[in-house]
Amino acid sequence: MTRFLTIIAFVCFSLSVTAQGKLPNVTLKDLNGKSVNIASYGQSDKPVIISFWATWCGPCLKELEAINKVYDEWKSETGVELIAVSIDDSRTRSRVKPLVNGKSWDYTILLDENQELKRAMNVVNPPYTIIVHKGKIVYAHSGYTPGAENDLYKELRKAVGK
Amino acid sequence: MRNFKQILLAVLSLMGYTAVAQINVGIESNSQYYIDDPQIKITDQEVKDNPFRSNNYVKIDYFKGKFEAGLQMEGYLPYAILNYSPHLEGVNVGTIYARYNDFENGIDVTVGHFYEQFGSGLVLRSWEDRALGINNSIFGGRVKYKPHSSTQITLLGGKQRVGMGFDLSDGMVYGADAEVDLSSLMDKDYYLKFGASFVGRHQDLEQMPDVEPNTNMLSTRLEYAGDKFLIGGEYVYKTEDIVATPEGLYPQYQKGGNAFLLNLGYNVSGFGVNVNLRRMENMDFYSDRHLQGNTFNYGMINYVPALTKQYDFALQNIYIYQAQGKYDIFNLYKLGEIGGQFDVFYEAKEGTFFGGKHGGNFILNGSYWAGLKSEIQDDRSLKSTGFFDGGEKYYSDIGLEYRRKWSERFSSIFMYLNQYYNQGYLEEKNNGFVKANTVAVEGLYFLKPTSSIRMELQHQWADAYHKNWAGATLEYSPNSNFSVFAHDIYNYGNDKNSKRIHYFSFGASYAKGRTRVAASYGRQRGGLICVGGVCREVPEANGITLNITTNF
Repeated sequence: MTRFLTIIAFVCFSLSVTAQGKLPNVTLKDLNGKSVNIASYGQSDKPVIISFWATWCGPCLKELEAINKVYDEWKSETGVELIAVSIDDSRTRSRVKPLVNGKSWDYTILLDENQELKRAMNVVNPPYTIIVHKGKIVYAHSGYTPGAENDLYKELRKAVGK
Repeated sequence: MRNFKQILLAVLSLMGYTAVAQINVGIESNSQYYIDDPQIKITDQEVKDNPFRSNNYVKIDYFKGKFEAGLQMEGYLPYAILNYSPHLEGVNVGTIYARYNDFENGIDVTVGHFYEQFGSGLVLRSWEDRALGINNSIFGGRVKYKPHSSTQITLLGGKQRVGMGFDLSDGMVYGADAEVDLSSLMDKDYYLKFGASFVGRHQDLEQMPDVEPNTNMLSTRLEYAGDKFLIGGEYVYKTEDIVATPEGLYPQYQKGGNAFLLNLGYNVSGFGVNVNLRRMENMDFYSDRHLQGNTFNYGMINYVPALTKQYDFALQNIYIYQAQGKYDIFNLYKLGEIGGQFDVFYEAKEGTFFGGKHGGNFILNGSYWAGLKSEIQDDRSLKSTGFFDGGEKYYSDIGLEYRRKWSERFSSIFMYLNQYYNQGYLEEKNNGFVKANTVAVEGLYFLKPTSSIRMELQHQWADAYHKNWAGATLEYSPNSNFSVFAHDIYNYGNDKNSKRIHYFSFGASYAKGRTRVAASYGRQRGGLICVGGVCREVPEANGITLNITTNF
């Protein structure tokens, strides 16, 4: 038990030293099979939303559907690009592309099939959404309750200074 | 445990120069306190003595330039949550690794525990799923090299984790994989990829020195994706190995295996179709033959998921198919499985009858799986009578989902599911099968832009096994950080009076930024808990659950 507490103490100490601020170098595939390094999204001047989701995750679908209704407005207001990172493994991966088409989502979809990015960013359960602006993770949120996209939009506007 | 202090010191000293480095920390804690209940009694004395159990994970990763190192500590305090493996105990290292990753030059070297997947995972997948208690990471070395932007080569070797971090399997696993993006080589606008893998398992059996220690899997795969149409296939060949069951090893019987997987898709805006077909014989592959068929999914080298849909609602998850890759010549004579699944996604545009003012969409899905028809040979082995010869029907389902937004404030989900579940063959008990029909509806009403009420009603009609169920959920989210719920499923149709139980629970969750805390009290239904494609049997229980996750 004491050992475990030592770890917690150590973890708190590390918080004061540095924090998770940048995107890691992890290569994912897009829906056309092209390799994409997620870190490259940190270099843009425009804000980027990265949303971890899965075809079997109900709240994730609700979140992405809700954002889809207002995505055009978000894009024109803030120039944002949404990267929806699917953590579907080989059981459900082939469902990703038809689902995205069947829902007419206009997002950039990346596949994290063996959850390398999810692990690197310490995401435990989807949905998990972050805002990256000028190379830094400026906001992160775990879980989704209906309407939470409104708060996400507030944070997005804050990030770009609107 | 002395190791642990040294590691801690080492990591601490690494932190001495964090000027341009980054440290990521992730914490997860899941606890349960079991409480005796008039209908769900705690029968196990050990659980009575230790009703509080928790699984805790602290993961620390350090990044500096091309160098990376990480440690995952796990603590099962004082014991692991019920029905996790007894090998998960105390506080110890879960995984530890060091990595050099030169992204620009395509060199990636890892020493320690690592996770990897070749192709679709049919020959190799090492991964972690804490909810299922799976961590079959490989402890050893891995090199990934990209000689050209189109080509990736992976070489690896090591032993699988089968308990805490340094409890390793008896057998050695080694593998090689090459993947070539042919379309980028030929500069085409379609996508064409070829891959080939080799995975070997070496295990000397002291008691049986004559048994060939090596069993290998070889696979090739090809994927094509055009503008609208996509097709992909994988073929796997497994060399002969002795027959193993949870009861023991049978060197007098030997069998090889194989698998065919075919994926088809058609996609245009507003419409998508997916079809997966698979046939396989004897595809179980463990890093230690003695682990064959173990209930904790230890030592699995490959990943053979059930190709069926994972459903959202509780009552849709009572009868769950599990992939039948097993070879059984002693009991039910199973050689493998054959079948497929399909999904159709369709968007009902705004302004149409099904789309209304705010739009709606449909998902239709189905699957059919059967055993392979086989003949028993003189040496007791099973031989398929023909490639497409299906045998005993194992499972089928057909489901329809319709989501619709009715107004700015109200949206709904309607779901219907029909299932056939061959309990006798899939659970290997109580000969018989179940036909079930499930209907679920969900309504979501917004009180304010970030405040909502969600209600779910479900019913299942089944002709056998548990028979009829009814269920309801009510969830209230006053703002985007907080939500409370009450949930009940009631097996009112069960033949046994004592099993007509309400599995009632209520709870709350709070999320702020990267942190999420959820607490609930109530009963949980026993049965198969499946995540991804792997399932684990859990007992029914009553108590308090607390989950905390955070990262920084």
